[in-house]
Amino acid sequence: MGKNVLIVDDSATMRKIIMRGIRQAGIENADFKEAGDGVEGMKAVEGAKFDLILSDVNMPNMNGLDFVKAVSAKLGTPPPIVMITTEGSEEVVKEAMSRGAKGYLKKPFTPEKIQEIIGPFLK
Amino acid sequence: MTIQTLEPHLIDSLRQSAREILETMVFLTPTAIDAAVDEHSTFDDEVIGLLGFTGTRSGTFVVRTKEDMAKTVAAKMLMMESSELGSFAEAADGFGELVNMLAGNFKNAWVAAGNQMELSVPNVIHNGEVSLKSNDAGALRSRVRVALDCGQIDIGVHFEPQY
Repeated sequence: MGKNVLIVDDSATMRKIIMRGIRQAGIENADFKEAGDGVEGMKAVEGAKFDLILSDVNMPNMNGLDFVKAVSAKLGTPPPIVMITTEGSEEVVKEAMSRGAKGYLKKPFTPEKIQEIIGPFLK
Repeated sequence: MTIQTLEPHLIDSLRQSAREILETMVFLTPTAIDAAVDEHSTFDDEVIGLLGFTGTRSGTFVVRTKEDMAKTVAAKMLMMESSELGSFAEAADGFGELVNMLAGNFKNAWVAAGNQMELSVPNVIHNGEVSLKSNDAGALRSRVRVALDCGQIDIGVHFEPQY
């Protein structure tokens, strides 16, 4: 059965790279929806059920940390959220996890790293 | 007038992340990465990627290259040929993501050195001119020049003077 994955990143290029990376990691059963920032992400979350959300941190309108907090507040049982971002400081990672993120993938990343971090959520 | 440059460990971090990002995400291997003071604070390159920051110091991350190189970067990130890209907007988005990753990785090194930094989002200027506030004494202008078989990318970090 297909897994519904929401990708939230202000770069269309990065969204395509993530989708490709997930397929290259051997994860074939994912159906993707895209959002350009946290505001669009919230609209997507309100309109459909997702098995996994992948979100950047540094975005206009609503950044990834605020998006994670908003999703967690909106949904009783939110899907797992994995941050995909250049932000690597311990402070930001801790903040993301405290707001409800379940994983963290740093850019740049390889398909192997996608398999390691994201793969378990799509089994 | 003295223009400062980044400390050696931050220059090294910039070099390493440029190599890692280009090899991992753009599938391009630098043939050389040289560091120097960025000679100017005004640029008119074909493609200029900008990302502002505040925190311990305020300034701008500036990544400059030719249009063909920007298209190559975006196309290779998408595993396409440059000719398959639609408008330049598609290339600008990919190039902007390169700027985003370079600045983000620099931020990690800067913060690890005990500083604070908040990043804006990238903007890509096509055939325009940009002047930065890094021309006065006390400013800092460092750049690394990445040489590739297919062209060159200049990655600059410009800090505004502290008054």
